[in-house]
This record gives sequence, C-alpha cells and structure tokens, in this order.
Amino acid sequence: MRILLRILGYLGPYKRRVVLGYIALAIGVGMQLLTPRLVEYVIDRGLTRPNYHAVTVGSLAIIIVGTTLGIFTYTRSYIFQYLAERVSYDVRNELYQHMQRLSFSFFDTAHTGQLMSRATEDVNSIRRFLMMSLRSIIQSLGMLIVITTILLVTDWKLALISMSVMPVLVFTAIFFGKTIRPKFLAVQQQFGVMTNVMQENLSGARVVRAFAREEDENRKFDRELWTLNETYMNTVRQYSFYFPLMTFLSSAGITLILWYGGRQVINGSLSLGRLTAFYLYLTMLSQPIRMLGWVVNSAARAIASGERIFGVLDTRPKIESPKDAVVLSSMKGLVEFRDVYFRYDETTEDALSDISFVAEPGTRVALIGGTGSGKSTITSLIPRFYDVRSGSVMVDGYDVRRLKLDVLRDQIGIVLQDTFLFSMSIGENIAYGKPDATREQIIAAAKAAMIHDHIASLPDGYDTVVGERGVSLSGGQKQRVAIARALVMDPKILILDDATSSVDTETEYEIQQALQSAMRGRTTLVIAHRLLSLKNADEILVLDKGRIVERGTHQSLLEREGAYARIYDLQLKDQEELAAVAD
Amino acid sequence: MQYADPDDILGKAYDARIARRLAKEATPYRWQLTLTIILMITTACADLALPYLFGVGIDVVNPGSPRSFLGHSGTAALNILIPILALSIFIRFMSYYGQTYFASWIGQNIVLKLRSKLFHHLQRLNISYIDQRGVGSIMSRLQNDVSVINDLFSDGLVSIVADLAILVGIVIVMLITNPKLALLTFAVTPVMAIMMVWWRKHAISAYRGMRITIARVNANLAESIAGVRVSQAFAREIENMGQFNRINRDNLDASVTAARYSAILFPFVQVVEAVATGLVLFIGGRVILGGSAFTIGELFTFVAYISRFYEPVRDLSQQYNTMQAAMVAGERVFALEDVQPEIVDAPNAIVLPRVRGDVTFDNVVFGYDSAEVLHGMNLEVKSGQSVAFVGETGAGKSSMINLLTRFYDVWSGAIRIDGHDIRDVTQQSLRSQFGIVLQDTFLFAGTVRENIAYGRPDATLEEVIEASKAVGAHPFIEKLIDGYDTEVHERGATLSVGQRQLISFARALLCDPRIIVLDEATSSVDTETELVIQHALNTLLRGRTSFLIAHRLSTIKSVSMVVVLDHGQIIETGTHEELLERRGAYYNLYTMQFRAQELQALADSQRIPTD
Repeated sequence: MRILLRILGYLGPYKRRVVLGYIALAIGVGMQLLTPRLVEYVIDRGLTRPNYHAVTVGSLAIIIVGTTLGIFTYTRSYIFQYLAERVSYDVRNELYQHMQRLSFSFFDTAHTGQLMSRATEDVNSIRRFLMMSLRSIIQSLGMLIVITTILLVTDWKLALISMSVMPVLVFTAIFFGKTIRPKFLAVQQQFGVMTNVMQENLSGARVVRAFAREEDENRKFDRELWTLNETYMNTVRQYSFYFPLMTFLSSAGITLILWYGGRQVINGSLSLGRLTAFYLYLTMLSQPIRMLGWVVNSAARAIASGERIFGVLDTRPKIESPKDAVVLSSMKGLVEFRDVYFRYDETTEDALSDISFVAEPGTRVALIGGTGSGKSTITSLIPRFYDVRSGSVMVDGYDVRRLKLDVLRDQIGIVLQDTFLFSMSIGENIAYGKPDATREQIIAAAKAAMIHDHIASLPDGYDTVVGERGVSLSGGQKQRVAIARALVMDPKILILDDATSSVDTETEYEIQQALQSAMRGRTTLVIAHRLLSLKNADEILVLDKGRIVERGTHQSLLEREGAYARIYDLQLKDQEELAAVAD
Repeated sequence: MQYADPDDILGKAYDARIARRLAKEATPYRWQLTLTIILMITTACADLALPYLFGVGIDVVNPGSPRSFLGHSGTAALNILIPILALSIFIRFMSYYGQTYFASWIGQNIVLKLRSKLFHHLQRLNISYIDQRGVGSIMSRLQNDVSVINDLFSDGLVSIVADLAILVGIVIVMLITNPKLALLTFAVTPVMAIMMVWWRKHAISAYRGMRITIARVNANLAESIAGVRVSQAFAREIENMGQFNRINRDNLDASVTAARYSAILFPFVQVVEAVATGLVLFIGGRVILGGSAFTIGELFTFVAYISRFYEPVRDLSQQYNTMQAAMVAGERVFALEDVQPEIVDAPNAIVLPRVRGDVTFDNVVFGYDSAEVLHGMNLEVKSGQSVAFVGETGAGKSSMINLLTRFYDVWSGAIRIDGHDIRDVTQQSLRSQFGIVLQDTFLFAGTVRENIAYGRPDATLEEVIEASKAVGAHPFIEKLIDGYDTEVHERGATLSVGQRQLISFARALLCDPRIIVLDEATSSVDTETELVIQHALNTLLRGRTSFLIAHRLSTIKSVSMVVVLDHGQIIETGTHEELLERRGAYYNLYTMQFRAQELQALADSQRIPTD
C-alpha cells in the first residue's frame, strides 16, 4: 500500500488532469448506464403501448447519449494515457539522474541488465498500471455499485436472482488473476533458460564444433524446449478454462433473468422493457468484472516494479561532495596515501591494508603485482571512486573527502585497460571530459596520443561515429582514443594501465610512445606490465594481497632478490632479453 | 545518432510464398486445426444463439402479442426455452474451452518444432555464418520471430476465423429476420471502414515514432549504465542528464501523439454503435407500430447484435497487423532455414582413424569473402613437432588454424593429415583428433567437471581429476566450494582468467588428442599462475603435433619450429635462436619493443624536473 501510494504520488503535479480524467470517466459511465433505460423507455412507452412520439424521442436520445459517451470516453482515455506517459517520463528521468550519481560500489554489485530492466520493464509496468488499471478499478467498482443499486431499486427479487452468479464471477476473476501470474512467471523463467542455452551455444560455437558436441547440444536444447512447452501448456490449461468459465457464469445470470423475469412479465408484474433493461445491464457488468482480475494482476505487478525502482532511488550515493567542499581549482599534483585500509562492500577481507606512499608532483609511481593484489584499487581511491575504511588519501595536502568532487575528477586523467567508448563521434569521445574543448585542442590531444593520423584517414574524420552502430576500432586504437580523452583535460594527475595485450608489435610500439608523451609533466600512477614503465618509475610499489611488500627503484629492487626479482625472472626478463639481442 | 529499428520494416499482410511455408509447418496438425475451426464455428453459433433466444423469450412472454414457440405459448414455451438456452451456453462453454486450448496447443507445437529445427540447423552451419550475423541477431530469429509466428497460430488465426464466423452469422440472421432493417445496419459499415483506413494510416506512423524514440531512450540508458564509471571519472554527469532528458522528452512527445490516435478508436465505435442502435430502434419501432410481422423480440435481437457486430470488424483490422508481422517473421525465419552449410561431409567421406599427426599444407590459398588472405601456403609438419605462428595482425595466423580444424575450407590447394585430405574425412572424426584451446576460454554453464569433460561426457571423475592434475588445475579446483561440482557461471565469471585457461587445458587434454591447436591467451595473469600455465603447456604439447599462435616469448622459445607469416605468406621458418641470428623479419618484429625503450630513454633525457 505504501508503495502504491508512492507510485500515485507521481501524479501529484498533474492533479488537475487527474480530476478532469475522473470527471470524464464519471460522465461516460453515467451515459453508459442511461442506455438500457432508454431502450426500456422505447419498448414500454412506445411499443407495448403504441406511441410514435416515444419511439422517436427514445431513439434520438440513444444517439445523443452515445455521442456524448464517445466524446467523454475519448477525453478520459487520452488523459489517462497522457498521465501514464508523463509519469514514466518523470520516473525514467529520476532514475537516470540518480544512477549517474550513485557510487562505484553500487555498480559493483548491481548488474547492467538488472538496472536496465528497472528503467524499462519496471517503468513500463507502472505505465500500464496508470494507463489502464487506475481507471479500470474506479470504473469497474463504480459500475458494479451503481448497477447493483439500480437493479435492486428497480426490482429487488429479480436483481438478487440475476446477480446470484456475480459473487462467483468476482471470486473467479480475482482467483484467476492471482493464480495465473506464477504460471506466467514460470514460462518467462523457462524462456530465459532456453535463451541461455541458445546464447551459450552460439557464443561458444567454436568450442562446440571443436569438441564435436553438436548432437549433445541439440538434445540439451530440445530438452529445454519441451520443458518450456509443458510450462506454457500449464498456463494454457488454466486460461483456456477460466475465460470460457467467466463467460458461462455471466450468461447463466441472463438465463435466470429470462426464467424468473419471463414469468413475471406473463403475470403482469414486470414490464417487457424492464426485462430487456435487466438483460442489457447484466451484459454490461461482465466486462468490468473480468477487468477486476486483470487489475489485481497489474496492480501486483506495478507494486513489485515500484518496489524495485524505489530500491534503486532510495540508495543514497555514498560518495558526494561535502557541504563545505574545498574547491581545488589549480592542483599541483601531490598524491599521498596515509595508512590506508580499504574493503569492498559485501566482502570480508581488506582489499588494501596499511598503504602509505607519497607521489611528488611530476613523479611516476609504478604499481606491480598479480591479479587481485590491489593495484587498481589504489588508483581508484584517488579520484574518490571509493572511500577508504581508515587512513586517508590526500591530494595537494587535502583529504580527498574534503574536496569538491567534480573539480577533483576534472584534474585526474584515467586510461584503463578496458577502454569504454560511447557511441558518439570520435571527436565527442575525446572531448568527453571537456565538452567545450575546441577542435584544435581535440586534435592536439589526438596527435599526442598518436591516433590523429588514423582518425584523419576515416571517412568522416573526427565526426566518425564509433561503437556498436558505427565504425569499429581495434583494441589498440580504442586505447589511444582513451589516452587522448585523458590528455584533452590536461590533467595534473594521470592514472594509467600500460597493458598492451592483444595488440600486435607495431601497435604496441605506438601505444608505448603515446604513453610516454602522456606522462610528461604529470604525476603518474601506472599499473605496470612493461619493463619500460618500471625502469623509469621514481618509485615502484610491489603489491601482494593488498599490502606493499617491497618498494624502491627497479635497480634497488632487483638487488634485493625478493618478490620483484621473482616477477622479473618470470615475466619481465623476456623483454630484457629482446633488448639484449638487439644490442 | 541514427538508430534504425529493424522491426519497422513492414511488409505485405499476405505473401503467398511465405504463407505456403507457414502452412507447411502446420500440416502435421491439420486434424487438430480442423477440429479447432469446427469448435470455433460452434462457439460462434452458440454465441449468437443467446441474444436470439432471449429475443424469442421476450416475444413469448409479451402479454400484448404472445408468440408461440414450438407449438407452445406462455409459461409452457418458457419452460422449453430455458433448457435450450442453458444448453447453448453450456455448449459454448465447452467449445470455447476446446478452441482456446487446441489453438494454443497447435501454436506451441509448431513453435517447438520450428525452434528445434532451426537450432539443429544452426549446429550444421559454418562458424563464419555466426561470425558474420552475430549471436544477437540469430537469437532474435529463434526468440522473437518464432514467437510472432506462434501469435499467428494460437491467436491470430483463431480470431480471424471466429470473427468471420460471427460476422457471417449476424448477417444471415439479420437478413432472414428483416432484410430492410439489416441493410440499414450494414449501411453504417462503410463509414466504419473509411474510419479504420484513416486511423491505420495515422496510428501506424504515430506508433512507429513511439517505438523509434523508446529504442533511443533504451540505447542511451544501456550505454550510460555500462559507461557510468567513465562518466563519473570524467565528471560528465550533468551533461549526460541533459542529453538523456532530451531523448526522453522526444519519447514523451511521440507517446502523447500516439495516445491521441489510440484514444480515438474505441469512442468512435461507441458513437457508430449508438447511431446504428438509435436508427434501428426508430425505424424498427415504426415497423412494429405499423402492424407488420416484425416483433419486439426480433427488434431486441437486432439491437443486441449491433453491439456484437462492430467488435469483429474492429478486431479484424487488428489482425491485419498480426498477419503482417507473421509474414515478416516468417521471411526471416525461413531465410535462416535456407542458409546452406558451406562445409559438409563429402558423400564418400571416410572416418579418419587415429592419426600419427603428420600435417601438410599444400599450396593453400584462402580468403574471406572476396579478399584473399593466404596466398599459396606450403608447410610440412612431422608427427610430434610443435609449430608457432608469429606475425602482425592480419598476417594469416588465425586463418591457418581455422583451415586446419576445417572451420573454413581452402579455396585451392589442400591440407593433409597423415596423407588424408581433410575434406575427404568426416568432420566428426577429423575434429576428434584435435585438442583445441581458444584464446577466449569459453566455459559453459554447468559444473567444473562437466566443463572439463565437455569433449568426453562419459569420462569418469578419476579421469577428469587426472587431466586436471596433469595441467596443475587440480589444487585450485579442490579448493572451490563444491570442488569439481562447483557451478561455473555465465562465461566463467566466478573463475579467474588463469583458472579458466587451466580448465580449458584440462578439457583439451582429457580427449588425449593427437594434434593440439592453441591460440594463446594474452591476458596477464599473476606470477604463480603464469608458472603453472607454462608447465601445463609443456604437458599438453608433449608427444603431440601442435600448432600455436604464440604471444609469450617463453612459448615461442620452446617450440621446434617458428613460422613467421607476413601478408598471407610464410617468410621465415626456424627455431627462435636461428631466426634471431638471421636478423630477418622475426628479428625486426621482436626488437620493435626494444626500439620503444630507446625512445623512452630519449624522452627521459628531455624530461624536465617539475619540482
């Protein structure tokens, strides 16, 4: 109920339209209820007791009433659709704005797919609820009450007899609405299972072929298909029975009218017109009752969706600028970690323990260690993607938690191994962090990142759209665009991952060059995979399981014959040998 | 940004060629289909009987002009009429139930067969087809398009037949009862038809606008969520919000426009109905008062039928969309079905016996589409030798491997294993000789054990453990929550890159292949794993002919022959040491990195201290 109210709360700004919609609805229902009375009038006043005038008046009235009904149906239908669209627009905007502000830790646990379904499926189910159910529930209940009253007042005995099936009908409709839902969910779920089998089979097609497993894959898929078929038929068995049942029940009421009412007409205690009106009222009722089951269903869905949406909206961004934030507009680039401990949400072990180091402005610090040793974690604390558990991360002597967030991030350039580009033009991608950058600045950054020549060779140059629906770039090209993207901001602090995997030697050479030019004159933290970066670092931090196990320069660390020396022997020596061969 | 929505390519509502093929899919169910149609007609008749019988009831009980029913009148007639009425609504209940059930049953069975058939077909298609089309696009054939065809059989056809039956029924009853009044009622139909045509024209483009704009909203959303870290890192949030708001606003505008059209159809029908009812009452009333044989009960039936008349008319125009969508979906589905596998077993293909492992590339020419990639490759590899292919991207390394495993066929020349041209043997027997380890180690949803035993599902646990031990995967697998029964999630997300590689080694080793084909992964792993992998690789290659796309120097140094490829040609062969001494292409390739270091030294000398 609380959630339902909160959903309805979104209608708040459009109160006048809501009221207008309901007024139109009420008038429409009134017109609808008038029609059987008019038919009754024509029969009783015009036909059983011949009266041309009454026939004319009655017929004309039906046309007028019907036309009015049409006008008001249009009005309320348009208004409720408008409201539904408007609220979905508002909710989507709110979700989007909120998600832009949520911190990294939120996105670590939430999957893109799930968040997408919040903003699409869930918003849609609220939209459908507002569009249909919001009016149906009032309309159905309204008609139910008014028609019952009219019938009871007109002839209570006939009313009771003809409506004796109604409670059964209402119960059936609601029961159906409730029980069919889990069955439909089961179908959806099984459809997902089938889809997964298919997706894996296609994505892993090479493996399937390589191991000659096609027949087994066929069997596996067929098995899921049969299960899907059974699950589906399970729902079919239910709804193919319930819909006819509901029609049957409402027709049973009509049979009762004729059975009882017919006798009354014969003995003169009921007029022919009234008997007809009863029939018309009763047929009119079956629709809203069937809607009830549907409404229960859609409300339940909207509530479930609302709960999920509000779950996202109620998550407070953990990382925000403090109220009295320091605006560090011209940064020198001094980075310091003081006794930093850090732990990711929903984990039990510290990802970083007791990390302390200083990077003077313009110097290079190289981080090395295995996967999960904490290299990337250290770099993500500087732009304050996460907050430390204890200790502090300082930039220019200020704890980053005291700084204005966007000003801080504006002066930090980041190039990660997995380079995400947006589906916009290359120029826009490079200017991503500085949308007001001039074309000259963009080109200068692209030149420094050694990607200008390639961009210039594309059909639309800097206006070439990249990404899923545009030109595809190779891994190495993307990486260089990402370097340009960082450079265009002219950052004081540069964070980069120098991995040049899955590119050929030529490209690797160019990326290396680009990186060297990028680092010049900036405080750089590099997650190092290349010997080059390590040799040139002012300080190397060797990490293991979140701790700094060794620190020093390349030469001093080699002499210690510790962890660094081991890594060197195993992974870096090849690079050294190549150098030796070339001598 | 231009997003074309493929769903918007609408075709004809009826295409004889596709309709025939759709009909063929339904042929096995022709008896069920016939039964369904009979049930539908029964339902329609029973449906129309209700207002008719009630009309008769009105006349029977009318004290002014009592009419007799089956020779009886008054209460006696009523006593006969009520059971008939009850019977007809019960018949309708049963036939309605049956028709819904059977129609869905037929639809589901057609869909089941179609999906299964397409899936089996896909297993026979070449990798190149999947590469070109993309997984998503193929999946949407089996998911969405097949579902649309299901809609046609389980809902569309039912509605069309039921609607037509009801329309025909009403027309017949009306014409028999009172032809003049009937024609008057039908006179409203053209107005209705004109309105429908007008509405369709506008509504379709309005809905189209809505679909296109919502697709843009969703595309923007998906990208924004996926790239949210980048956005925050570059402090772009405010800018993004503005951009999203614009796209979202476009969707709102389009939706409101569409609402204008979707809101008008129902009220229009209401007005038409009211006008028809009023006219029938007016004229019919006059006819009755004029003393003709026309009765109040018949007039009632007319009025009741009018409200049943427009629903099927409206419904039929909706079914036009279902038909249209089914034709488009059918075209796509059948297009997939018609793709012929390029690589098929030769009619007289033999089963390749277990080979020694001598491999010959004999003047192999090959390319993708029309671009030639390999220009006459000759290479002879003796059983037990290991070969590493090196070269720039596009030099032809992957092509060599794709051809050897017959994922693609050569354009000319031949590849022979132990003297057998690989096109003369069955694919099954050919591939079972290979252990293939791909760069992207793909694991299937299932347990670790199932994944290792992927190529030999009948392998015992002992054998699986033995293979794991041989490649050094056993220690970490043992430590997993459920050991070998641990579930591996989507694309092996719960395992590290190194662990996945080791599992794929074990998977290949378990088959005890004669020939190993390995595309070495480039991702960096931690030092310990690196050691284990190097060791595992040695185990895997020992005593087997092997072909590697190598990325690690340590791997290249351990093979018996390095083959340097350049633009689809072999330019050098020899061991690592030999090639370095030769100071040729290989030497240049691998000293490129060193040049980067020289440059660095230069950069360093120019570096200006900032403090």
